[in-house]
Amino acid sequence: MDSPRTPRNPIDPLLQQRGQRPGEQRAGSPLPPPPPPTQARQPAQPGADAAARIAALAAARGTAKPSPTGKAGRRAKPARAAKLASLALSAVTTIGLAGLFASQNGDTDSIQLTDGTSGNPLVTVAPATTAATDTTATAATTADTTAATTAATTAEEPTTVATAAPTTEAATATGVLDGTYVGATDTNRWGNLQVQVVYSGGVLTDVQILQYPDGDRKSVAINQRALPTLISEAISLQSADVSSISGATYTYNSYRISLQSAIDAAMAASGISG
Amino acid sequence: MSLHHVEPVMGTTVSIDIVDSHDRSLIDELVAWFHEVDDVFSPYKEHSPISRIGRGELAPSDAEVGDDVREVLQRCGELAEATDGVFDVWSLPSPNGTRFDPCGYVKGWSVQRAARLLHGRGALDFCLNAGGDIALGGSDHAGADWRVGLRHPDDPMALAAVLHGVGPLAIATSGTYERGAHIVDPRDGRAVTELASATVVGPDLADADAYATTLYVMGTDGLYWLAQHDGYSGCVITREGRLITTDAFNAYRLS
Repeated sequence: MDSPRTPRNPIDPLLQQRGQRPGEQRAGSPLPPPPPPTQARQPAQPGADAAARIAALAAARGTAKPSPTGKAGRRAKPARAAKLASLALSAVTTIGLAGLFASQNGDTDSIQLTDGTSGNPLVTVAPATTAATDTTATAATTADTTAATTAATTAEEPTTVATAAPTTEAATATGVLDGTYVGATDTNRWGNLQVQVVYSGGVLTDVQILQYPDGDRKSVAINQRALPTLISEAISLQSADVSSISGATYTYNSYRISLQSAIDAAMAASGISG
Repeated sequence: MSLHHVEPVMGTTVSIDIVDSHDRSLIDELVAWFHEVDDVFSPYKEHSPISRIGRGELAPSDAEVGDDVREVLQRCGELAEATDGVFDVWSLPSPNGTRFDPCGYVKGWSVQRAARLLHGRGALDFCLNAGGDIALGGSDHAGADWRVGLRHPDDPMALAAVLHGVGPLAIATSGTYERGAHIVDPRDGRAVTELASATVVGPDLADADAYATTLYVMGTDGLYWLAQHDGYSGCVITREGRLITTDAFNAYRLS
């Protein structure tokens, strides 16, 4: 393990060397795309409305960035995990959708889905880099707006029919026609999730959840509270003078001589405490 | 006036940094404590109470089982219940060949105890780090917020994010960075691979440690679960190199 040369700032020197390299933006892929819908349902089952009224806003300004290849195909892993994460697919769907629209911006705009009653943000997506633009923006910018949402969510399994229903048509600078677009229903082990989006002036102005899973005891408990905000970005190398580092390997025996101890040793050898 | 010590113990490296004291006995006391924890809780030690409990030679209710073990078992039981088995120290492959390995709780718990000990001795400004699980007290040497880096998953010498805060504050990270290391989902025994790491920030390192493990097993969706816990927030780093956080987590971020 390298010993930091400048004890005052043990992390920085290394980052200085490494920070500028091309790989700095390690941005991998964009947000987890929405899981493929498996079933189309009629919108808004009774009782879903209460949980479902979602006023959204924000975001989507400016130039759309069509991306012909789109990686919508990378499907989110089914809710293999977490019975507790009963929001699993629904959450992924929501994030994925937000990511989808965020990707239109091509920059760092964020999209917030907010709970209509409380105003609490549901999901915030703030792509830190343009790495997020290889999603399914194409779908949302095609003239065939009826298919926009559907296409975006079914890239890999185009078996679903969505009940898309644009209500108005007004061509805009972005090529997105104003209107309301209903997404396909996604069924996961906890129930169905379906959203619709509203474009106005070429800008995504609202995302409404039409159906929401509520079949599970725990998901009910979770649904009754505002969902937390999640913020997603590509990680990059950070430079800072830190006192400590979190994230050595968890399984013990695998990181006996940690980075922390190397830093500690360097500082101790330099007569600097802390 | 400050103290600094690094102790290899509990299969990891414990770093002790105390700002507002020069009483070496504090270090001695903490070091003795961590070795005691190692002796009692290590599944690597054949005759440790934990190994004996795992083999069924010792029941948690037996008189010779100490209060600390009982406290840990109690809390682990509560966590298994609260997480529907996502965090279950009775369903993990243990180094001693049993299915009982409470280390996912014990490391954070022991550091939290050490923090309490320091506080009780009047040392209020400190940073304790056991293999990446950190308990902070007060402020740093400059009287400012402690600053803690999150390891970059691809590079052990780089950071993916920087956090700051005034203690009492706990930061725990669960992740696998090296080949061979793995975290198992207690429910099906499979290694979990979705995330590079999961980090939890909160008031108590024992719970933060357990929550970080739980979050790691749950994957990104676990952030929704985590956010249900008052005072706790967190982030995950995906294998693809994305940092996804709960909203509250960003109050701790410098970068």
